[in-house]
Amino acid sequence: MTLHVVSKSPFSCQALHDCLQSLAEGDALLLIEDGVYALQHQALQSLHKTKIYCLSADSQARGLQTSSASDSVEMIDDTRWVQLCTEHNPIVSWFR
Amino acid sequence: MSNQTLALCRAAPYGSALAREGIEAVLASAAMEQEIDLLFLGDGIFQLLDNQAPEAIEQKSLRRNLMALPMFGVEQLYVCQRSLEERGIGPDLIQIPGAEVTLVGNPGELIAPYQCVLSF
Repeated sequence: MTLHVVSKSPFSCQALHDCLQSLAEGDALLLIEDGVYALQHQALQSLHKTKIYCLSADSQARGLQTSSASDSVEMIDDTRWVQLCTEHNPIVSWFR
Repeated sequence: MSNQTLALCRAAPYGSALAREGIEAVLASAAMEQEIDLLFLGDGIFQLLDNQAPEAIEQKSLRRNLMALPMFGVEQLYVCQRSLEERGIGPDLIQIPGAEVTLVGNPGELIAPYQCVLSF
């Protein structure tokens, strides 16, 4: 299963759009850096079969409270991020 | 296929250096006899357009680097079908002589078996 890491805002960049086009069933999505603005994006609402993670430090830094995220998103720390990287293969970065 | 690398090419050719750097990285790894495939997605498909003539904007043709891929043993090019359709580009416009261009309806399934995916 692939871990997709998105680090750019979906409102300024195609990263999330291209990533969602390339999701396979069972893949996981991790939002980091400006990628956490995707928490506000409606595209996430339709992802029922995809496990969604968000780096908590990055969302807190940007003032995105967990309440604004949908319930389906798991807020994680760095340790869990490393764990996800060991659990998934390949890992694809969507950084622009 | 499991030991192979996939290069994900998402950048349009001349607006930034990323597209060229990606193709150069692919050619370099192919020269080192690494097995590598390419998937063109999003604006990356613009790299494949025929008739690129960037002389007037003082750049070298990236198309020429792409034409070198088969000589380096890189013969499998995957192209996201939806990206082509979104941009109104027909499959006949993106042929590379000596390379096999495969249209991909589900990029996620293509990516899954690779051990390593490089993003450009």
